[in-house]
Amino acid sequence: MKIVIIGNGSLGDSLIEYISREGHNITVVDEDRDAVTAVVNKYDVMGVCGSGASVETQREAGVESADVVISVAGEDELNLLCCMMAKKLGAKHTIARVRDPRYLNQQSFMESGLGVDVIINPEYEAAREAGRLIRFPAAMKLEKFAQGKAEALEIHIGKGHPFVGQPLIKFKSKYSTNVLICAAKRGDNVIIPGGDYVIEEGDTISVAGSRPDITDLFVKTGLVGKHLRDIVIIGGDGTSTYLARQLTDSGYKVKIIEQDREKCEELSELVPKATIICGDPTDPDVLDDEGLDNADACVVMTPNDQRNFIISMFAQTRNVKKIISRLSSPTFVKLASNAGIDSNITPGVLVASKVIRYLRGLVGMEDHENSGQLKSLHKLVGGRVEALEFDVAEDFDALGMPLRQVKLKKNLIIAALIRENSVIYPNGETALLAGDSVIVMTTNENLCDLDDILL
Amino acid sequence: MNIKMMRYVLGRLLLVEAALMALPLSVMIIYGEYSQLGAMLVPMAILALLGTLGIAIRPKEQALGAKDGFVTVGLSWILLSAFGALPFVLSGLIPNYVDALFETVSGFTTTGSSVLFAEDFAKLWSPESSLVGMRGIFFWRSFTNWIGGMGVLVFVLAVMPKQDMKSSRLVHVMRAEMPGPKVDKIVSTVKKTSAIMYGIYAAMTLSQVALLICGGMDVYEALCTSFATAGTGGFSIWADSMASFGGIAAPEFCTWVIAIFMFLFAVNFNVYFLILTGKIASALFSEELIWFTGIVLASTAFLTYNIYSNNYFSTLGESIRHAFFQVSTVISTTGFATTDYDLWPYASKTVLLILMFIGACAGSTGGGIKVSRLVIALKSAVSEIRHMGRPRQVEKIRFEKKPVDNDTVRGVLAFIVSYIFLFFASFLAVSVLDGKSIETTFSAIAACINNIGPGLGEVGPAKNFAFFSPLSKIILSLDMLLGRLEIFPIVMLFSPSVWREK
Repeated sequence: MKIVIIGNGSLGDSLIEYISREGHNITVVDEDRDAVTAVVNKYDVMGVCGSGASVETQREAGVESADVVISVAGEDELNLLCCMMAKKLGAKHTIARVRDPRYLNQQSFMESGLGVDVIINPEYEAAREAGRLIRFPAAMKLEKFAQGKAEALEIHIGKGHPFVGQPLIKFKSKYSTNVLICAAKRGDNVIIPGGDYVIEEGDTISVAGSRPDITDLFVKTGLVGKHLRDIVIIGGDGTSTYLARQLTDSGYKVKIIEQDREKCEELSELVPKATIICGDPTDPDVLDDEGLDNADACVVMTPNDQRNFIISMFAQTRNVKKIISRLSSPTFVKLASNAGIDSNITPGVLVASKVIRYLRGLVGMEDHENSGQLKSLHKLVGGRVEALEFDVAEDFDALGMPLRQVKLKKNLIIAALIRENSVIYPNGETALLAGDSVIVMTTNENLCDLDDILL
Repeated sequence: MNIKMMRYVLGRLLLVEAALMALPLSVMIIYGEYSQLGAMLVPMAILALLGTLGIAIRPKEQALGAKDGFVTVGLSWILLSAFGALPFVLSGLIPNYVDALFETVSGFTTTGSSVLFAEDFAKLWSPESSLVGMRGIFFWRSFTNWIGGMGVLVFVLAVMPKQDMKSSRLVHVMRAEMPGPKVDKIVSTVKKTSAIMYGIYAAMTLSQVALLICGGMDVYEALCTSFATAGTGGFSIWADSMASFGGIAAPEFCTWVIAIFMFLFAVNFNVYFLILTGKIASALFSEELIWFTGIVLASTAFLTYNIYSNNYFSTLGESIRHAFFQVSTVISTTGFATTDYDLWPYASKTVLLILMFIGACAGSTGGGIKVSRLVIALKSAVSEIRHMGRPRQVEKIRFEKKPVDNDTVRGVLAFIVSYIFLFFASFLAVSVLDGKSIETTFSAIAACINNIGPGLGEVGPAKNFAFFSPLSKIILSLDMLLGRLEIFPIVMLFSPSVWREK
């Protein structure tokens, strides 16, 4: 497909990285000539220098014949304008980034009324992710499927973790659970493990299953800690606003530390139930005075990676149980996990998953008769594993066949399926029926359609 | 440097070369030259073996930096020529390996300087010893021109598997091989850009083949001649180049066809892409094309006047034909000749010598300094002079209606300075080694570094390069590579600092 991406900031960059891996033809538009040169050198894309909201530039970038135009420039209004222009010029689909919390309520109007097909809001996505992690602190990362009926989460196996030394084949009987371990990362290698895989210290594993089953497993292994209550959020940008609203609404005690007084005042209007502190979050005295050492969780959400990293390290010295840190650069994510801060949120990856799901859906509609529409897609283990949810349609090639007869692609596992509102863990005798939802985990890329899982 | 990925790309290159050799091999089979099959099969086997070893392990880390791109391109061309020379040696056409290497480098770099004598050409058609000729080997010789014209790595990129293109940043490889001050993709992926370039190239070559067949050539002659024209190479299958065409039906028609196609292949291929996508106006008003056409028309007019008034040809029409052909052949850096222009008046020879340095347009198959580089350098010089007189003035140079960024201007100036330096270094070296006249040595270096082929004096269109000493031949071969790859890849290959750092 032909895709035009307007704006080459950090979000644009991670979008380009993930989308170019899907094998699309990409043109990047930015006003900064050096940024355009850099992106052309880095990825296999074409660059156009100019303002995204100028018709001339859009024409030069080939918007008229583009399948998708994605606008992720700095300002929300500019993105909306770019998308509306692109639609008028003939682009088939448009995606805009709109992140101002004030526009959150009018998302559906923007999608229907302004002709923008998808609104992406990285800060809102990041806030939701942080919220999930606070509700389920044992996980480093948590994704939901089928309206929350099933979940996939990532766990780091630290020192003395009860899973250490467990071969997967005995896992099921030992904990009498059906929950599947569907992906494992050791060092730099990510695999879909078989039964002979033995969990070691330092691994990162992904498990998938229904909420009660996963909770049950964690209770049995004694991994569910105390419920978190006192949350300190550092930084007062959009993400913090979304998160604080979410948390205060569900009864958490939230304290936000922000340096800028004007922003603090705005926050106290937007999130009346939270305590707003105006102070420099990189100053240890401020953090200690505000009782960081008594907090259950610390969510570091300033827009600056370096600051987030340092504040997280500091929080670690104060024995905060759960530290969630927003880091946009992959290098910092790596450094942070090495230092033991493993709940990192990268807004770019969250949004890229959403955009890629949309793009694969379009490809699926073009290329195949509908054997199973892609419903959701999440990137796990640093973007190396994909968890995908498909609806099974009538014309799926292996409909009704017991799974042991179905030849699946390598590095792929069917983690769970949802039938009539309940989660089923498949075995060799299970068959996929029309109307089911299946959750597939794979290290392969470019699955657009359920038939793509077959060999 | 990512040595593993470079090894992988080079492995692919060797496999592609082995595959390309299948074409001359089939020519040998068609013409029944079975005794020479070994000359093609042995190199093919070696290339296939080395290539398979090279691509056996797919490197994990695939990113190639700018420097890697240059070094890969430099190494590729040296390997390509080293193996490409084997068929000439094994068939016995050019028994000496250094001579064969010179001929092959000359072929791939689309220079067209040759070490062959008239007797060697005779072997192609009517061999004394047996009834079989050497059509296969001569086909390979012409085919090297075609491969080198658009660039063999560009071809490798076009046929590279998609999963290898995702994160390997091969744009640097493409940039290092395609000529011109600023190479950019015409569509968003490297693979597609390469495929489109080769598509245009092949389509134009085939149309020339068709026209030449109409002019009375047989398929073999038309193919070989078109290969040499398309790559702006200049290897002919006749000892007298394009003077008589071995006595075909319509020589004048063929002369015009070749002259016009040489001109067309010297034009930036982006122009053809724009025409294909319907942007005809912006294609035809490309600034570089206007300059190029202007230079060709002015030189043709001057040469016609000069040779006609000096009674070299009896009719005006004949003078125009020869003048246009010679201008086209020299400025496109092809190096065919319809007549021995070494006998022309000094004024005409001087104009031709200057055209050698100007060369073709950027992004074409031709060599030389390139019209766009000279125009940018000229504009920057004018702007600097203006700036001296009025130091507060701020002025941005514009080319093709767009401001030229400073990096491009710096790149152009660095190119011209290194070009002049290397030119005179080899001029001095070859003069010391062989002691030929200034006209001969100067024009020989100019013909090699600008990828033209014949020069003036003892290396004129009716003569050859066989008399140079082996060391001089190696220097001249390096000059050809420097010219074709536009200096930097070869210079980087030989600079220790590139290899020293990790």
